Amino acid sequence: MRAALAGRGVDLTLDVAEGCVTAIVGPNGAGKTSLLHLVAGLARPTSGSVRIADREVAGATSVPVHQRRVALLTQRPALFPHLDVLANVAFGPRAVGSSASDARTRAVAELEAVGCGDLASRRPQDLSGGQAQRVAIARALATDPDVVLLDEPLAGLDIAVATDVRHALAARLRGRTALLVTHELLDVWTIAEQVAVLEGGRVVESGPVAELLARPTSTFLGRLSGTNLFTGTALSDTVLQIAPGVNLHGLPDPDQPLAAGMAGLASVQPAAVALHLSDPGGSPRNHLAAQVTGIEPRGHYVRVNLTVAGQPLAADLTGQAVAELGLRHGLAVQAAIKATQVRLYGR
Amino acid sequence: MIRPPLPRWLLLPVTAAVVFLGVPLVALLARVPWARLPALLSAPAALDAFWLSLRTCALTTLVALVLGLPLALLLSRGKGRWAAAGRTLATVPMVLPPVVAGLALLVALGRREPLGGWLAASGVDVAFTTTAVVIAQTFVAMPYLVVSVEGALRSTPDDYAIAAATLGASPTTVLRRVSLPLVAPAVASGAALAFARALGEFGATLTFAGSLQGTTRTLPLEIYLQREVDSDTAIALSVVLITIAALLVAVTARFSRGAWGQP
Amino acid sequence: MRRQLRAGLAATLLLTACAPPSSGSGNTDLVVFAASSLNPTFATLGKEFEAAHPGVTVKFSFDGSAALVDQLKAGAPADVFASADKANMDKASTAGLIGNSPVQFTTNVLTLIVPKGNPAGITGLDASLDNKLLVVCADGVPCGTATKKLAAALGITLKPVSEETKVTDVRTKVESGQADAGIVYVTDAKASGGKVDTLPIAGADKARNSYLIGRVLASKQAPLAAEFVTLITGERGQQVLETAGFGG
Repeated sequence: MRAALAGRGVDLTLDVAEGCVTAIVGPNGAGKTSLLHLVAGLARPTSGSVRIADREVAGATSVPVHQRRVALLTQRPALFPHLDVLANVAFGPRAVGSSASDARTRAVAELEAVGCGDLASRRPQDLSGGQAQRVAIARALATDPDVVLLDEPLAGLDIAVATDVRHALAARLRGRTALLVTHELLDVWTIAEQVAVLEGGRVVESGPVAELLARPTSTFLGRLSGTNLFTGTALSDTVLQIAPGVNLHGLPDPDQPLAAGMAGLASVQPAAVALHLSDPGGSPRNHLAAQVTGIEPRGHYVRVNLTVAGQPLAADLTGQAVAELGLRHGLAVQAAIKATQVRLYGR
Repeated sequence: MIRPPLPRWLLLPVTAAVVFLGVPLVALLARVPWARLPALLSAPAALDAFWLSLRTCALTTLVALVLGLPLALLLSRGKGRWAAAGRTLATVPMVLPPVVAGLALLVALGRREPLGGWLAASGVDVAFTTTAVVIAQTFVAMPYLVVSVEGALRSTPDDYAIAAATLGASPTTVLRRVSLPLVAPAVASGAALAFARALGEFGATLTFAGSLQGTTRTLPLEIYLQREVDSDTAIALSVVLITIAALLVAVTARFSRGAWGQP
Repeated sequence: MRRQLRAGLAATLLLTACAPPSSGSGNTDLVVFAASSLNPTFATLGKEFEAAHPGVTVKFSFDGSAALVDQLKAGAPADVFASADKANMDKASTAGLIGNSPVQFTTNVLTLIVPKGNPAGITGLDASLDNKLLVVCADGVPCGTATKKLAAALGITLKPVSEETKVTDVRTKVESGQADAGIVYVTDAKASGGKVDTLPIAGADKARNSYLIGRVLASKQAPLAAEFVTLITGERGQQVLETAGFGG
């Protein structure tokens, strides 16, 4: 799929690999939702074109929404309130001409795939938020769309519920072509294989998720969650090797534990990072050789930017600590992080 | 939760309002010759008027649905000057005095008027026919349906239709299986209102359609005639109209509460 | 003002609450309930009555005779009642609403009217009416009862497309050309002022309507009411009525 379009101050050129989930991230107003609307046919490009699998759907020719073979999933599940859950999921297959029994069979299968097989006869009004969004996923996928468009599908859910739905979504989207607009780094990490960063209506960066998270040149991606991120390979469920000989000890995320040999992600809050001029000792800590690359005063604290084994690390310190340590650009320091402050995610 | 109470003195105007609204109805009921009621209501003229009213009102409601739903759909999407003009056009008959509606129809479709004359010459002579009754009723009743459905369509979020379209539903399928079912309660209450308004239609029918038993003399026209001939019959028929109206209002109230709780 | 209140309840309350109007001092109202067809005639005579009786205001309520009887029964305050037929006056008398015995003061006969120029080529109550749009008064209202009586007397069957409650509704439908012909009182045809052509009905005399007038028993203005009745039945009243086509 290739998308080259201009409209509403949006000027995007984006190649999306087939069979891949591409996360679209960027600040508010970057044009993320506009991008989805252009693909779905809910907005018309003023110039340029949108192609899905060699078929031009917008540009010289314009294919109406219902013939684009796209599915759209938003924050609101928008289940049809006058139909029960099964009829909601069977709606798509019926609309494109399946027989009632085929549509029903397909709907039952899709519902079971998202763990909602027992909800078939419920009314949407009687579902919890998480259940409704799962049913919406089943409904969106029941038509075998060429592209699945997801506009912050988990944003309306409680954290605990979002985790469940995130896993269901990741499982169901594997092998499909999808665009996922999100503000959550965890969504990118868990669901997407590729990521594209939009800023000011343009794609400023794109590539494989692991690669981009390892070297976020886009300021937005670096600040996406406000936490430090390290990618690497798991040596065990509590140790992530972020570079040869550089290991990070932490606690595995209960929902996404890592295991030896797996690609993993570690997150660390900048406030949890302590800096020392020499190794302070003490066994439960991670000690990482780091180099100062920048110092930014931020009101009540100072943000110190460092590199560790080629990956960026931010530490928030008091102004007093910065002065006592005599931190300056290029200085080599030791970064100490408690293992309990490191969260490790598998994939 | 206990809401802060309303001031007690409100009871005074409230009592006045209830008396004001209730007394005429109670007075009418008090005058009903209950013993003669079955005989009065089963008189051929009364039965003819009753069935004619039901027939024409049902037909009017149907025409209002067929013509009014598309109009409501279009208006609900409309923005700007044309939509405002369309909305005004659709609502003016609601507030028109009945006799004015009758005059307007007469001037438009009268046999001596250009349009009506042309229609009559082409063999469509509606003067003094049941068709004229339905035309008069539709003119004043359809706006109730349009306004009711348009309001409901406007307050329905777009994302249902968007979801349906991305699922592969053609515009017709979206309309048939999503948009219209979603506003079904409003369609039902709008249709009930239109039926009720058609049932009460008097001025336009009298001016435009005439008054002949079994053909154009609907319940209100029969009541108008019986008021001159036998006021007991007029009152008996009024009770019938009040009963039907009360039922329709109850139906409307039931539906306007909304059958689908918005998720 | 007080006397125009028709609603039984409100009027009764006011009547018991207020003192009866003092006759002769300042303003006195004389309320006349009269059949619709008497409208222009009685209005003219009312003005003359006022001129002859300084301080007296004659107030009219013109409506269908049956409706007027209903209003009288409900206690509407009136001093004089003039009905367009005997049946309704009898109803009022039977209900004990009328003082003395009412008197017949004029008559009216029916006529056929057609729109100006007679576009449908109607020649009378004959075959020329076949498949044409004839509008008449409904049976039960005075003009309709008269129409029915006339048809029976002439041995003809009318096939109207509409039976109106008010004779004026018949006339307006003919005036607008909506109907091809209508049967109304001679006086209505005259009052139309040339918007319709009149085709006199031979034998119309066989269904002559009687107009009766009487003093309302509850009237507080008995002498004035009696004087008004005298005006109508007297030479001047008869002259004005005749001019309008009554008694012809």
